[in-house]
Amino acid sequence: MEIIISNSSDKPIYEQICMQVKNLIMNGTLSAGEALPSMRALAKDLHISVITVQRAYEDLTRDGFIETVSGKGSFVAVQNKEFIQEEQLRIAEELLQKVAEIGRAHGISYEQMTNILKLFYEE
Amino acid sequence: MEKNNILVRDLYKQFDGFLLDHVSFQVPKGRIVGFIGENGAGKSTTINLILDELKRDNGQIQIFGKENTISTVKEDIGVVFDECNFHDVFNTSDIEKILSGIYKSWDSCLYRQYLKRFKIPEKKQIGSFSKGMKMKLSIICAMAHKPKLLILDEATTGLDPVVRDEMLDLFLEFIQDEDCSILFSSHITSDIQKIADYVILIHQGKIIFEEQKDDLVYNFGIVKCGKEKFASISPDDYITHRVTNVSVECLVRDKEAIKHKYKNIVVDNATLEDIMLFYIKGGAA
Amino acid sequence: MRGLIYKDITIFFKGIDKKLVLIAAGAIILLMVNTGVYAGLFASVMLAMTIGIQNIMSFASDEKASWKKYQLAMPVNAVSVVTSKYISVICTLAVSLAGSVLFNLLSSVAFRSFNITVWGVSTAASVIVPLLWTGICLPLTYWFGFHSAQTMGMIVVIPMFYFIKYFEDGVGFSAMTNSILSYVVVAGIAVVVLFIISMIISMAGYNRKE
Repeated sequence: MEIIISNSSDKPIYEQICMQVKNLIMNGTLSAGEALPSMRALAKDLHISVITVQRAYEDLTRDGFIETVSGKGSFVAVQNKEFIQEEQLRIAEELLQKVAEIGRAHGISYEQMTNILKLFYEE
Repeated sequence: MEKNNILVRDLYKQFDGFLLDHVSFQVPKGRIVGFIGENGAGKSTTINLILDELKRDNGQIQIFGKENTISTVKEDIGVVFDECNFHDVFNTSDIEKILSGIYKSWDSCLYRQYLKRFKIPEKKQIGSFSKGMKMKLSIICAMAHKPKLLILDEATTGLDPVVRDEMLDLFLEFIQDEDCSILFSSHITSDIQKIADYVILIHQGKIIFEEQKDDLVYNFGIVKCGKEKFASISPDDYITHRVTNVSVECLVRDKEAIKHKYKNIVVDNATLEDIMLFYIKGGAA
Repeated sequence: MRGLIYKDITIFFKGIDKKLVLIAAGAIILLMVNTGVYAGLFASVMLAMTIGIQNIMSFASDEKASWKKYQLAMPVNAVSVVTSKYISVICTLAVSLAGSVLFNLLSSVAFRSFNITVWGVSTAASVIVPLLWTGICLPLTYWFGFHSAQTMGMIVVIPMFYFIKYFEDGVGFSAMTNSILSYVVVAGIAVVVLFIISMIISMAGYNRKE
């Protein structure tokens, strides 16, 4: 798992970790059920205190991205498939909204657009 | 269940010319507590009192939830001082025979593993070792009986950066067990900055602060500005300040908040050493 | 406790002071040459004194290594620390006894005389002298530090030398009879009692803290 934190960023360290782990889970780099490094191990690698890593892991657990099993460690949550889908659906909706705006603004018909979309689906 | 491996409350000890004044702090399980301060600030005195090497005048010290004066408590404590306390004539086998006859949980296998890992010669008298090697041996001995608490009093002072880094890695390995703690006193603030979870600053026998290391290193900052700009900064927004020939510098607790509040202001990162010097030499907050 | 006993015995043997050995060897040779039939006895006493001194000297190496500070951080109390030191002293008596037997053997062979009294007194001396020496100096060390014991040791050496001189002149021994052995037994018991009391005083001294 690759995490880069910066102490010249304006975001607190625990937030940076949280965001990066979320991204890794959402883009599939970390798969469901995969084990995260232990808090202590991550703290050691990032040269930060375990307290900060603990906070990041707590936020990730609260948001449903990971699960912590006492005595075993932290794992990417299995049910987050729905999360990912919702998240991706949201992204797709935003993109489709842009597509619709472009179509309306430049006189591209609805039929033309759906044909293009159909071609991409059948690729 | 006890969540602190060390609990110190209102520790008071008076000597000729020095006073340890109502010192209170804790070392929680699974955490590394760094203890910083100048020479003579009271770090070693506090540690000696915790280890019952000195008698306290007043106050409470508990180790693993028990009174620190009970000698069996030390079964689970590993101690490293700033020098190697073994006689020059011993070799590593002698030391093993001695310590395995003292500590019930001495692990011979672990001891030999460490000796091999850090390339400590096995038949030579330790009088012929370099300082770095002697300290490595002291640290190995402290860890080979699998303690729950490691107390390090200037244990890395006098070691070169490569050896120090190896030792810090060893301490981080030790703390992977969530029952274990480390109390690490040092005036090499960069070592503390690397591995501590909490940092305690002691000055002239008093605790000045007990903060999370990440707060200190990532949130604290140093404002650098001219006298005019300084006058516009509210005293509530900084901890202490100092005046140099060319500027005024302030130690602030939250550099992002300061950057938002006062536009166009220079706020630098602060190292633990900067923070320590500000507190000790800066004006009163 | 066995760790501490091992430590004290190892320091005794590995830390033998070369100067002390040279002086003792020189003195023993001189005595053996000059005291005729009683050579075995005098050599035994000399060796016994050396053993006593060496036991105290180990405190010097303790101090050099800052051992006490480290020991105070260990799960050992005054009773185990002091008891193991005293047990290690008893263990070193083996050297004293062995030496005594050796010197008397040499003496008996050289002078073709076997005097049971001399053998008996030698053996007793080889055990009593180090016990007496350490019995007096150890509590001093635990109470006042190594240097005071060193000073005390020097002071006790003086009457010992007068004692030896007195016997060297030959007068003393002709007055010795077989009944001396009973005096020796009494002395032996007294020393054992002294040793035990000394241990208790030492423990109190070890416990003193700033």
